[in-house]
Amino acid sequence: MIWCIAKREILDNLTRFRFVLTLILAMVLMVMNAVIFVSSQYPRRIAEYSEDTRKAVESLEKKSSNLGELAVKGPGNLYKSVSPLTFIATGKDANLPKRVEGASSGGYGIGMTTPDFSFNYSWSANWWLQYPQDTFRKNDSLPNFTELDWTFIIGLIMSFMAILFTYDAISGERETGTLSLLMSNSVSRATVLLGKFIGAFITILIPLFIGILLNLMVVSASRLVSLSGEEWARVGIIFVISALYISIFLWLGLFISSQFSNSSSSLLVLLLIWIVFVVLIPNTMGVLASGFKQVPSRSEMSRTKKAQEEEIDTRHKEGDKLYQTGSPSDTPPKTAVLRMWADYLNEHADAKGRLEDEHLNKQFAQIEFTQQITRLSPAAIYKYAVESLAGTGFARHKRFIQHARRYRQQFVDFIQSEDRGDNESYHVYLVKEGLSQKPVAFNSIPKFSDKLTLDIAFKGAVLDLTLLVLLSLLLFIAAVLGFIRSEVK
Amino acid sequence: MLWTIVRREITANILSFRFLMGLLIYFSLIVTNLFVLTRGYEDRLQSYRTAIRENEDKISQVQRYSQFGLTHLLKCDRSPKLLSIFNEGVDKRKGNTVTVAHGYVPAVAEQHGSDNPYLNIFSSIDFTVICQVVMSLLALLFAYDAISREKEAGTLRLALSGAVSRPTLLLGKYIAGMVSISLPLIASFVAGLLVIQFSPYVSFSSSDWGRILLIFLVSMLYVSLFFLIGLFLSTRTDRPSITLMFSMCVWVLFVLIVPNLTVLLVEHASPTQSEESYKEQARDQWKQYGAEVKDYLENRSVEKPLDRASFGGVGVNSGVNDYDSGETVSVSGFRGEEGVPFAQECYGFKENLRAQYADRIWQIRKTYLDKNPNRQSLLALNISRISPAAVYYNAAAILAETDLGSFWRFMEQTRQYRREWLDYMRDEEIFSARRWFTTEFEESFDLSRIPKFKEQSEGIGSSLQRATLDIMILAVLNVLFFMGAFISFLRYDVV
Repeated sequence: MIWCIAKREILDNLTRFRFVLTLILAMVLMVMNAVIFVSSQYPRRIAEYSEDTRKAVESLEKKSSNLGELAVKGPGNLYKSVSPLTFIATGKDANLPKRVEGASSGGYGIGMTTPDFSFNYSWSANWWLQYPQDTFRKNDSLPNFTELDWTFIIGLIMSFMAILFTYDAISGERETGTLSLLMSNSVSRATVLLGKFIGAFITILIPLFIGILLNLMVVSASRLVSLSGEEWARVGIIFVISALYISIFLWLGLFISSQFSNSSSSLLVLLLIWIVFVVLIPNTMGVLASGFKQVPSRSEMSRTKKAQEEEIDTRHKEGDKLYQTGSPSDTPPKTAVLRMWADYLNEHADAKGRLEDEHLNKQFAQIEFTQQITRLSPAAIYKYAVESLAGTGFARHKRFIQHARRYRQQFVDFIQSEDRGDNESYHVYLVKEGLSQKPVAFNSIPKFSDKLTLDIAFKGAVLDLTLLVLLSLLLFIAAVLGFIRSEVK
Repeated sequence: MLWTIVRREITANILSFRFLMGLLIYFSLIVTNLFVLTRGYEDRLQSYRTAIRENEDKISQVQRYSQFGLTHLLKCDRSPKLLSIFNEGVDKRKGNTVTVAHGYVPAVAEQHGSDNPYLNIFSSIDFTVICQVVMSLLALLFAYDAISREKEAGTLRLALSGAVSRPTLLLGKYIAGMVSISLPLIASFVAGLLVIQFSPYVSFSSSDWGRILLIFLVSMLYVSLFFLIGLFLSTRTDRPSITLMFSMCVWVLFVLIVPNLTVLLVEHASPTQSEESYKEQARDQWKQYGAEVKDYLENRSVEKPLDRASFGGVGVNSGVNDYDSGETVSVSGFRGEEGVPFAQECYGFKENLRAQYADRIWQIRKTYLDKNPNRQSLLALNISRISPAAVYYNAAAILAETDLGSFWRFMEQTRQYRREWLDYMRDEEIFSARRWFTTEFEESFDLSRIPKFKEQSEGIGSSLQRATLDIMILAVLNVLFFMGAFISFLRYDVV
């Protein structure tokens, strides 16, 4: 019986204008997305990424001629890899920084002659991890509302279409009087509802499926992007999530439709719900959240930084003790001097690194808080789920930062273990003269890698996926109960 | 007769379910949004004031004039625009503090205040956007069944069989619809103004009131356009449900898809060159500058203006990136006073030359900016005018002084200010002053002596002039659709 109703619904829908419209929109937008992606977006980003990494490797290679120098200067720029699935969810990646920098900045020199001693040393500060705001986006005058990706096409347009497919499913039949006819047969209300759902679900999935197929065809025909098996699996999961997301709106449509006796009222209510939850909530929360959770301002930051640095300076330079015993550049240097200077330089680098890390963590906490609030909107939940699977967006960026921080430790460990292998070294970490001056085999330096496995991606999406399932279930129950309790006429 | 129809329609509209729902949703959205944006404005105003105070503090600490070139740069701050509460435009995006130096012509603005750059991944919505999205939808919902429903119900025939002519009926429906829609609009404006007035930081000037009124009128024009589109579509079909479907498609296309798509298309079809191309040239210019300075010194057979060994100075060289140009020299513990006059002469030459090179680099940069990001932005703006929603937003932004043009105006003012500053430095012969490089002057710097940056806001007349194109587009579209609806209704099959 369900199939009978579903078939009727499908046949009915297929001849409707809204089906044609959905088909056209899905096809045009999906193809457009793919064409833009393969013709300019992706190649440009990949080119920039490979150029950047090439430069980074080059500069690392240059530094590897001297272990001490490498230890001081740090690993250089670490770049975030570009996900080939950016066309599914751009995740506003263009607005997120593309790199972190493990480098030192600033060089200093001190020369002084007093009656007691003479001191001369020039050095550059030890490296620490910095987070520059360096993005792909070139022109910040262009408005940044949304981007044309799957999350836009499905999250916004298809959810709208899902509403158009269901708003009159029950209220329309009430209006024309066919509902009482239908119910006079020996069908249960749940069956009718399920039949209608399946009918609408299939008819909306057809255009979506065609659109996605075209999209993937263009993407894979370009040969620019060759998706691996794992990435195909992700695309598959994303499709399932998309279907789940659409079903939420279908159930919502059926639920509201069952509560009204005329179809324009049900459409009106649905539209308003849709506007609030899909358009407005995801877009207003950014401003709102920034008011709730404050982040220290930049000038505050630089004040704290300055104060800490001054504190370190006064503590170490008290009574010129840093200069009296000798300079690290003496030949041969005294180990005590090296240790003193290493302490001094390390403290500086640690303080700067710690401050920047904390500041970034606070900024991230604010973003996560905002994301939590936006989860009021199913469109936002859907977007986050898809982003985790596509390897884009904020969650991905956070993981990249974590990788970079892990790599920082790896790099330090490498320098120390390499240094232990050199008998001529003083083994004082970290002042340039205190470490081995031998060249390092470039290949042995650990390289930064920023790979994301399906496993991790899926774990990141679990929360949002659960939320979507719950929401869908909730609306399903609401629709069934609502329909059972409603009048036929 | 017209008024009977208008009255009937207004009563029917106001009592309808959609009116109540629309009013409720729209109203709550606007009030929360305005509340949030007012808070945001207060924050920005505060950080603007702090920034100005901090800058003045910093400048008053200048001991050597050369510090103006690198460590104690002058700043121009852009005040947050009060009407950004209604329309954010580029106000938050484009930065609001600009660095000025004799060796650097300002071209970009930085952000002061407690901003979190990662918040950029969230898009934000202001009063105008809510109006753009919700009011247009509401207008369509009011208009879609104005004609076709009456036909379906059979009342259209009845109405027209009396003494009512078709134009009167259409006009009556239009006026009534507009009155009903303008109610929530007016209510939201009033509520918004109340919310804003509660803030202790805000006081409206008469020109602000004028701008608000203009924004309101533009909003009305925009809403009216969508009402007419709905009316037009309603006269094209027999069934309200079909009209509704078409209206929704028009709405999705013009309000949601087109404004977003144009940005994307322009970004990809007409990309900008990377800044590297200009930076390369700038670097060459600085190299040339270095060579000229070297020549100058060689001609006088000295290696450095001040021999570091005998004076003990520290210098930092100029670079190509924003804000790191100029050179701070600090000289203490003279061992020979005889070198000083020459050093003065030398710095006088060097810094004047640096200012000239900065101007030259600015010319290069200007060409780059005009050919790349600025051209792209203008292109995106022009293409997005396909959508009335974008036209409306742009008009409102111009009136709120938050559009790109206002920002460019501000940047131009900062460059003007740099000229003044440079002229002042040259008049006072600051470059060749002894205080340029020596640490012997202890007293702090007197701020009142230097020219101060004053931001000149645009007059309401000139704003209106710039907004004319967009307002005209809206007006013309209004007329077109009214005529369309009119003609179509004259030929409408009543039965």
